[in-house]
Amino acid sequence: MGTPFTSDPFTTDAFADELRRRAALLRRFATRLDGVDLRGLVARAGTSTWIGPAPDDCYADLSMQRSTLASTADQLRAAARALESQASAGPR
Amino acid sequence: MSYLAYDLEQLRLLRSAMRTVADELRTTTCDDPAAAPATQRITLARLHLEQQWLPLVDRLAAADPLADPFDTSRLSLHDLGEALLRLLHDRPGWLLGEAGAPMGATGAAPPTPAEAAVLADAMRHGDLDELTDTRVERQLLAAQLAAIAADPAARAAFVAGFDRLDDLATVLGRRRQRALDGHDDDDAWAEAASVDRVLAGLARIVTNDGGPRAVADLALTLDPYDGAALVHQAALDADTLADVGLRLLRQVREGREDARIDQWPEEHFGGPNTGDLLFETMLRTPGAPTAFVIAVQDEPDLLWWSATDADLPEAVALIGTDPANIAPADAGAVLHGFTDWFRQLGAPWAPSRHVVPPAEYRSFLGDLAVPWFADYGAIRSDWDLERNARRADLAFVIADPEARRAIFAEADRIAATIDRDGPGSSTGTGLVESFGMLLEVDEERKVHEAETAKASWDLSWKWAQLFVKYAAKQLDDAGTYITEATELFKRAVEANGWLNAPPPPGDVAVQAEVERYRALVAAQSVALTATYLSMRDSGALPAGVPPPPPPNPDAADLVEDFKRNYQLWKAAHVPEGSDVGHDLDRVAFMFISATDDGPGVPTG
Repeated sequence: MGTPFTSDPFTTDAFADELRRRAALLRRFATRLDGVDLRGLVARAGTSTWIGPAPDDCYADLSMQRSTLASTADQLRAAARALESQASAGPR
Repeated sequence: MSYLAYDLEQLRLLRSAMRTVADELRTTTCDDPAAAPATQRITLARLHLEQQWLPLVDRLAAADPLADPFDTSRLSLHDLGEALLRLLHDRPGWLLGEAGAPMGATGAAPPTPAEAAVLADAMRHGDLDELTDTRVERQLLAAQLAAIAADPAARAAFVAGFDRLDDLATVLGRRRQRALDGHDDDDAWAEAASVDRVLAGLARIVTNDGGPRAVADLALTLDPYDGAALVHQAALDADTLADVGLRLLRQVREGREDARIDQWPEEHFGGPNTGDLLFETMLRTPGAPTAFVIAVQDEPDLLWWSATDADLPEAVALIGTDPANIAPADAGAVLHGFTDWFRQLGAPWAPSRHVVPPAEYRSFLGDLAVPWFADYGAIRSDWDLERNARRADLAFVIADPEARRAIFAEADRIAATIDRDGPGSSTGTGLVESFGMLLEVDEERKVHEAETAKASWDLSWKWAQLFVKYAAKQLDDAGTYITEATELFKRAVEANGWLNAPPPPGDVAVQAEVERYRALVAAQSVALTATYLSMRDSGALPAGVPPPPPPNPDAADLVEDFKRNYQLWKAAHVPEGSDVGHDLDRVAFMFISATDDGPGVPTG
C-alpha cells in the first residue's frame, strides 16, 4: 500500500498569500487611478475655457479617456476579486 | 474659416491641470501581470495629453496671440465674421481670433453645436441685410450654413436658435434681384451666385431638418421671387417642385390681376423673374417638367406667361410632353389644354412687360404636337379626347405657319419610315387616319386662307404619295409592285392629261375639296394597279386582263367616275363573287369608301 496523498500545507498557504498580495496590489492600483482627477480636467477643458473645433476635439478626447480609465479601475478591482476568490478556494 | 476663442486665465488653469494629470498618470503604474492592460490604457491617455493637447494649450497660453491688438489674426467687430463671434467676445475675459494651423485648430472642421448656436443668436438679433451685404460675408455664411446643415447636432442648435429663416430668405432674394437688375455681366452673376450659395445652405438646413416639404412650405410664405430663389437652391423632388412652382406662380398672377395688391418687386426689376428661376430649376430636376405641365393644363398662362426668357417655358413644355416622359392620356390633356388656351386668348399682349407675347409661343405648339401626330387623327387613341376635339386642335395648330411646317416635316419623316416599319408599328397605328385628318384640316385652312389651287394640288399630290406608301404596307405581296404601279399610273395620267388638269371650276373651297379627293383617287388607283400586277403575276388574274383604268380628266364627278370605271373593268375581267373580286374591292376602296360620294360635280 502506498503513502496516502496529502497537500503541502506550506506550499498551499504561500500560494494563497501570494494571490491575496496581488489582489491587494491591484486594488491599490485602482484606488490610485481613481485619484487622478480626470473629471476635473474634463471640466476645465469645456466651453468655459475655450471654444472651437480643436477645443471640441480635446474635450471629446479627454472625456473618452476619463471614461476608459474609470472602467479600467473597475476591471482592476474585478481582477482583484478573482484572485481573492481563488485564494479562498484552497489548493488547485 | 474656423475660429478659436479662449479665456486666457482659464486656459492657463487647464494647462496646469493637464500637467498635473499627466504627471499623476506617469506615476500610476503596477508591475502585476493582471494590470498590464490597464497600464497600457493609462499610458495611452498620458500620451494623448502630453503629445496632443498640452502642446496646443502651451502654444496658446504662452503666445497669447490675441493679446496684441494689432495682431492681424485678431478679429475686429464690424462685420459678419465678427458678429458671429460677438457674443463670445462680450463674455468677460474672452478674446477671439482666427485659428490657423499654428494654433492647432482644423480649418475644415464642422461647426460645433455651440458655434452653430452662436451664429444663430447673432443672426437672430442682427441686421440680416447688413450681415450679408458683402461677398466675403456671404461666403463665410454660406460655408457655415453648409457645414451646419451636414451636422445633426449643429443643425439642431442652429434651428433652435434662429427663427428668422423667412427674413433671411427675403433679404437674400431682394439682394439677388438688385444684383441682376439691369446687369447681365459676370460681376452681377457672381454677386447673384454668392447669394445663391447662402440660399443653398439655408435650403439644406431646412431640408435636412424638416424634409423637402419644409422648404416648399417656407418658400410659400415668401414673396414669389424670394421663394423661387430659395427653391432654386433646394433639391426638391419633381412633384414637390411642380406643386410649389404652381403656387408661387399663382401668387405672381394674383399680384398682377388684383389691383388691391401691390405689384411684386419683380415687376419693377429687370433680370430673371420668378418663372425663370422656377423653370430653370425644373429643367434640371428629372420629372419636374412633366409634373408641372400636367399641373398647369387648366391654367397654361402659368407656363406661357411667367418667364422673361422665352426658351425656358418652351423647354419645360417640350420635355414635359415628350412621349418618353409622359403618359399618352396626360399628354393629350396637356396639349389640348395648351391649344385651347391659345385658341381662346383674346389679347395679343402679355400681362407683364417682362413676359413674352403669346404669338411668339403659339408657333411652338407645332413642335409639341409633332411627337403625338398619330394620336391626333387615330380612330383609337390613348388620348381621352373626342376625335372632333383632336381635329379642331390640329386645325388650330397648323393654322400657324411655323407650327404647320413642323407638322408637315414630321409627316414627311413618318412617310420616309413607313418602308421600314410594319403596319402594326407606332407609325402605322392610326397613321392613315392622321394623314387623312391632316389633309382635311389643311385643305380647310387653305380654303380659309384662299391659297392658289395649283399650290393646293401640289400638296395634294404630295399627300397622295404618302398614302401610296402607307398602302404599300397594307398590300402584302402586292406592296412590292407599288413602285411599278406608281410609274404606270403616272404615265397613264400624264398621257391622258389628268395629272396636269386645270383647276376645277368653283371657288377656292370647292377646288380644295376636289383636290383632296384627287389625291385619294390617285392613291387608290396606284394601290389598285399594284394589286392587279401582283394578281397577274401570280396567275390569279388571266394574262390578257388589262390594267384598271386610270382616272379620267374629263370626268365631271371624279369619285363617281372612278368607281364606275372600276366596276366596269371588274365586271369585264373578274368572275362575280370571286375571292379575287373581294380582294380587289378591298384595295379599290381603301381610302374612299364605297359609300363616299366625294365632292360631287363642281360648278362655276
